[in-house]
Amino acid sequence: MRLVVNGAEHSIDSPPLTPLLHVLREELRLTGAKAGCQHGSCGTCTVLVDGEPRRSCLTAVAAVEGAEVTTVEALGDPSRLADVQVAFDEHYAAQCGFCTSGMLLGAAALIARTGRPVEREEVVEALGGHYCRCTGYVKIVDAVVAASRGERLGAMAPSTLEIRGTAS
Amino acid sequence: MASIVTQPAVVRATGATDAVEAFGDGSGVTVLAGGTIVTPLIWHGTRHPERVLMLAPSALGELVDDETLTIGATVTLARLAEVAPEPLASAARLPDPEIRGQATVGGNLHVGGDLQPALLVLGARVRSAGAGGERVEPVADYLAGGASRLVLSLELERPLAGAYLAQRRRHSHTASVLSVAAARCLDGVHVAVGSLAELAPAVACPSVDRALAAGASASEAAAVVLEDAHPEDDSLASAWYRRRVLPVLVARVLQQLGEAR
Repeated sequence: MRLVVNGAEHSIDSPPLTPLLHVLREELRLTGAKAGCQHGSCGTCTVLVDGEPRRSCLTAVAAVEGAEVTTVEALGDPSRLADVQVAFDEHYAAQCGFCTSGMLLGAAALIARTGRPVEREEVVEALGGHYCRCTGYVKIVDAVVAASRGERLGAMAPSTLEIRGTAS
Repeated sequence: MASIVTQPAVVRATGATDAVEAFGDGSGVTVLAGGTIVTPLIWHGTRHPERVLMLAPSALGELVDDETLTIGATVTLARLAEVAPEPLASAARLPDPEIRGQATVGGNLHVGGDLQPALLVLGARVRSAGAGGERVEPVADYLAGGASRLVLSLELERPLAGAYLAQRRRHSHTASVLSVAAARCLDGVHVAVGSLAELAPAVACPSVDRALAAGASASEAAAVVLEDAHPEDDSLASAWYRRRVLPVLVARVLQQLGEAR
């Protein structure tokens, strides 16, 4: 089975019913999508499939053969963050960070789909299946609204950039 | 990482003919489409299918919006919410948008899902394949028969008005505690309730329908709902709690229906 992830084609050895989440994390070593509830309830495993947010824990890998899978690793990189990542950083929208990759992809899909500044209610609806157990929802919504408007609060502090890593 | 101890045979279908042929009489077959329910059940070892029939989104994806609305089994809840009349559209909007984009009509029908009471009050028919070939039957008969066939599509007519309420955590990917649908059709008002127990099929409430036809108010008609609905205990709620809440929800749905145009 062949899978296209972040623009690169991979040959997959996992059995066809393996959830995409585990193929990404354990076969391709892309650990941005998090294994939270693993029953589709928390949103931490969200990735984009052909641009639409999908729960990778609910998606058998065979179901996305031929589709384009995008994980948070392709959203931006530390030297060039995506607008929505910058907004999360500037608005302190990440606390423990476990929900952040799913939130970022859900938000990026919403902004791409609407193609205009979004209202708070739209963000609440779009991210309704993503749980932040730090309860940081207000700042997350602030960040997504700001990203959709192209607002920047200013340059990021160097110390913020230094602590950014690759949690798994 | 969890893993499947014995790998089931996987057959993929991209069209209706392939799907029907691969399903056969259904013995030993688990159908997987959106995967929102079945994928974790298989992965975590709760279900051990011999064969898995994977349906591509296009396999049973027909959607014909004519005098009769025909909805293929692999149509997603997101698409259903765009085209269906009330109360079916509200039922399809219950999960969060990401689950809606993945979950299918056919899957929801099979897991005691929130579409069931809405389909009952709309008098929907189920076209299915399996032992004995293809057949069309009322959704109530399909559910009463154990819902073990391959659903191909649903057919229904638009009502004059509809209303729906479910008690649940907003956008949670779990079953509802209770769900109630009502529709005003040419032959009168119909009410049905779902989620009376884990995986229990929804039931129509003819006692409520008759009370309304006889001129009862919303609260008077709602008071007789327990003649038709028999809640049970499960991990989400007790039967006692459901019995207390159900008439309240039914009354609210009927009030909502009264205001609907």
